[in-house]
Amino acid sequence: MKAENKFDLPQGTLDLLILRVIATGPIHGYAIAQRIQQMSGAALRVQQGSLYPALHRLEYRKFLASRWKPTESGRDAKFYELTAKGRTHLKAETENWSRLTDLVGLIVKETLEGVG
Amino acid sequence: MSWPGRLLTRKRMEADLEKELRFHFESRVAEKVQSGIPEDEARRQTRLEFGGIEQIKEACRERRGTLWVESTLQDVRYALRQLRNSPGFAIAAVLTLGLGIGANTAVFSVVDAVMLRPLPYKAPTRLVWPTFQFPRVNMHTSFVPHPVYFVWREENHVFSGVAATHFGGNDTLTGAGLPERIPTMSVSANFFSVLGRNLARGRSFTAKEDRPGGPRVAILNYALWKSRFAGNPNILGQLMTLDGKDYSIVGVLPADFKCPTSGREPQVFLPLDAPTNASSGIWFLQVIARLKPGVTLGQAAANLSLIDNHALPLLPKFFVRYTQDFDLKVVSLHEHLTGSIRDPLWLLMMAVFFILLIACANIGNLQLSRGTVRSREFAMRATLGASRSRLARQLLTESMLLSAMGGVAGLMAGIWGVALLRSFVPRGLLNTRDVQVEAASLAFTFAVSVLTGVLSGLAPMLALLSPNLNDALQSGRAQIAGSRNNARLRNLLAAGEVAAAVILLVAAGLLLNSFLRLMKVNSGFDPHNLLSAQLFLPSDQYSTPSQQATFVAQLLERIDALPGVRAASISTSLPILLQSDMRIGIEGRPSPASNDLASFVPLDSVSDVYFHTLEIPILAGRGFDSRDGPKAPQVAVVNEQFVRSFFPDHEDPIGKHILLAFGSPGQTPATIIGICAAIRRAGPRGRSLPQIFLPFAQSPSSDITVLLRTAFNPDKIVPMLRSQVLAMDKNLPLANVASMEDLLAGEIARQRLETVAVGLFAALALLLAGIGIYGVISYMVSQRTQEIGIRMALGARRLDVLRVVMRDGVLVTGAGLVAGIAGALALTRLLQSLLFHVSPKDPATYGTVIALFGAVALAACYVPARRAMRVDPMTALRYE
Repeated sequence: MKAENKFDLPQGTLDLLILRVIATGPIHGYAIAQRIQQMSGAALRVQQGSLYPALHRLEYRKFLASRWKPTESGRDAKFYELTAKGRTHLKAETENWSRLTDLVGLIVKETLEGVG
Repeated sequence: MSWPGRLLTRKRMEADLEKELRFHFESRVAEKVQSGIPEDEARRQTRLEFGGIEQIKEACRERRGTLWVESTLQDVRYALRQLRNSPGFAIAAVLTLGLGIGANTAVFSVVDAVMLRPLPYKAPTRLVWPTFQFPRVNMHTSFVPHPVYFVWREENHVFSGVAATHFGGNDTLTGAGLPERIPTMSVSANFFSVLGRNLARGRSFTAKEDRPGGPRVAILNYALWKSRFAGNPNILGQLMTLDGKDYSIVGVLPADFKCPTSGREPQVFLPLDAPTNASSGIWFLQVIARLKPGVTLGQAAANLSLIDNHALPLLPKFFVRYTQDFDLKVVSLHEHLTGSIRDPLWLLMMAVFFILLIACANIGNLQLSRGTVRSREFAMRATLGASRSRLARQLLTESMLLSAMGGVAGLMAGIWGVALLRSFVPRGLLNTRDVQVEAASLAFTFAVSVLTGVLSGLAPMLALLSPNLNDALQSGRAQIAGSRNNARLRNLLAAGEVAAAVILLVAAGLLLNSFLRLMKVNSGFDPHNLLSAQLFLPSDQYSTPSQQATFVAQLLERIDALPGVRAASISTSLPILLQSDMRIGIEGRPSPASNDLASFVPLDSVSDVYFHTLEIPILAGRGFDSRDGPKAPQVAVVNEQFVRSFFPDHEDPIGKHILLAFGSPGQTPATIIGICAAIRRAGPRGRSLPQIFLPFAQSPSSDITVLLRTAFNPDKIVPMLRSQVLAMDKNLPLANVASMEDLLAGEIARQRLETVAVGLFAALALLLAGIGIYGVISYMVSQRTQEIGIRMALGARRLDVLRVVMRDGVLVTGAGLVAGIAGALALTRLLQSLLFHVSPKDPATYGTVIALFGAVALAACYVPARRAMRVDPMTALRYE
């Protein structure tokens, strides 16, 4: 765990990332962590201490369902997949997110120009 | 999955969680091994990456909503284990809380029954009770002259109904079974409808029945119908014999009907039958009225005062004085019934609340001491992944569990306590109330238990939040950095306990002082081994004075012959009761004004040996003897108070003539032949009044009070007395048989109970506060064992050690005493109305309390101090 690899994830974004990753198909926790790391070009590392509580919370809120399946290596792993509710939630959250980033981007840019 | 289901599958879920994290761990290790890192190193690195696996698990569990149930169950189990491990603490805590909560439950049950629950009548808040207040003489009365009642009833605009009752008396019920004196009451025809209660059977009185000379009808209460008439369903229309007269039964009251007037619950109700004018005398009635909707008490009083004047012409002249300077006040029936008990009840409620606070402080203190000892345990759990809020909840669960157990114990103590407190409630009020632990009290107990749990868990929780837990883990001993703060908190709690206990002790001391003074009040006669009983000679058989006198003479003869009777006499009333008065004048003096109340003097007919029997000294002249027969000139004995009022100029009253029944056709002169000492009527708080005694032989009466001076416990003579009376007349029951000591005790029973109850609570507070001080000092000693050991190794003497230990105790106690005295000075002013001849700032009481508390505090400090003095320096140092 090296400092330069780490971003502080804004509140709520971890849920969005997890849901987005799981949206591609049933996947276990370890693979989710790896996928997020790969997709962010190793810039984002999700720690186990955040990942699993988040997974359990999402499952408890019925956004995720889970079942135990053997992996390629032959060991049993807990695979998560989106429920219908989770899919709706992901869509809504994604829209929220892009609106938010657009707005934040707009303000940040203008401010920069003003300062510049 | 629902959470009960989840609880069942908790084991499987735990396994799943473990397996899931394990899979992640192993995958990571495998990845590292693949990238060429040796397995051992890979495992080490992964473990570092993971950090605390238990924390992750805990976080996962917490994300699921059921955690609180699971963790609470876990906490409860853990807390139970903790309590099992220290049974001494557990028992002490549960007992302390049980007493505190129990006292609150008991007192609240009485408050609930007496003050909070509505009266058992329809819309009871609109029932009111008019009283006359005489501010100039600081008196009030609820007796209303009957012409005034009629004016009120006919002319008011504020009531939907005005009912009246006349004297609850006793009448002799004869017929099947033994003759029996039963309480009766005359009521107006609208009495039951004003109260809004229907009869269980039959009907209420009609207006035709409620007038002089109307038909003789009666309504039975449920108890009498069941006991005397075996619940006969065809009772209506049957006859019953009261005082030799036949009454037709027209109704039976429901089982739960209670009469709102004071005195014994009447068993038979008769029509009021009040005369329409005042020519044959004034009847004094008690009035209950029902307010029309929207009318206030003030408006009602104003309306009554206004129409009151209309009654003036109907009243005898001497009433003018009454009617001149009074305030008419209308109070709610509830206020009228509960007014006298409100202050004592609030006093008790406050006392038990203080007890509860002290108990909470004690438990808090104990917990705090244990909490400090347990700080390593908490530090360990924090390291293993317990959050601070989780630990706080653990502590709260423990104190809640304690208070729940205390609550159960308290409920049992409360049920027992209520039985004790029942005698606290005035009898007249009890008529309308069943005092017991009911739903409201249960809810109250529950609320108090929860409050107790929070209060007593608060101190240890505060302590938990402040210190740095890691320090505790690192330090080799069971001490934490915030220990000094803790000590301050503990001292503060103990000082608070002392203060609360001091306030209670002062209150109890003042009540005790006032009670002792009441006891010391001399009634003016010796109540020891004095028996009293009442007889009422029916007018049809004993109509003439000579018949009455003959009966009494024979009765006294029989009683004198009984073994153990040292003296027997007769009077027309009990010596401790006020009796009827008569207008008098003194011969050769100007006639008193007709409205001069001082010319009305209480009168009592007594037999020859009356003064001897009661041991009332004759101060001058002589008492009555056989010379004062019916044919002899009328004589009188007066008391010293009479002499003071009527012969203020040291004139010798002996030989002077009193004009009895002054101004009436029956006016008679009576020669004063003796002066006796005054006795105190109307109980110890009453004043001694002027009084005239006449020989019974010269003015007999059908109301007879028998007074017996016995050589032994007077109870033993009762059966013999009863059989002597029945032998003379088989229809004559003996009523109100009681020893004079019991009668006097009844007068002061309330004060006795107040004193005993508050005294008990104060003793409890003293004990708890003592334990509190002991706990603080004893803990301090155990914490400073090493320091004491070092001091002693360096040459400190035992006395020095004692001084160090005692200083803390003295400081805590001193601070508490100062605060308590200040609080007592501020609060005991509220006691004023309950005290008798004692100032709320009575220095002797305060001094005694301070001395008593000093002694208890010294004792509480001395035990641990002695332990400190015995510290063996070698052991103490080796402990380090």
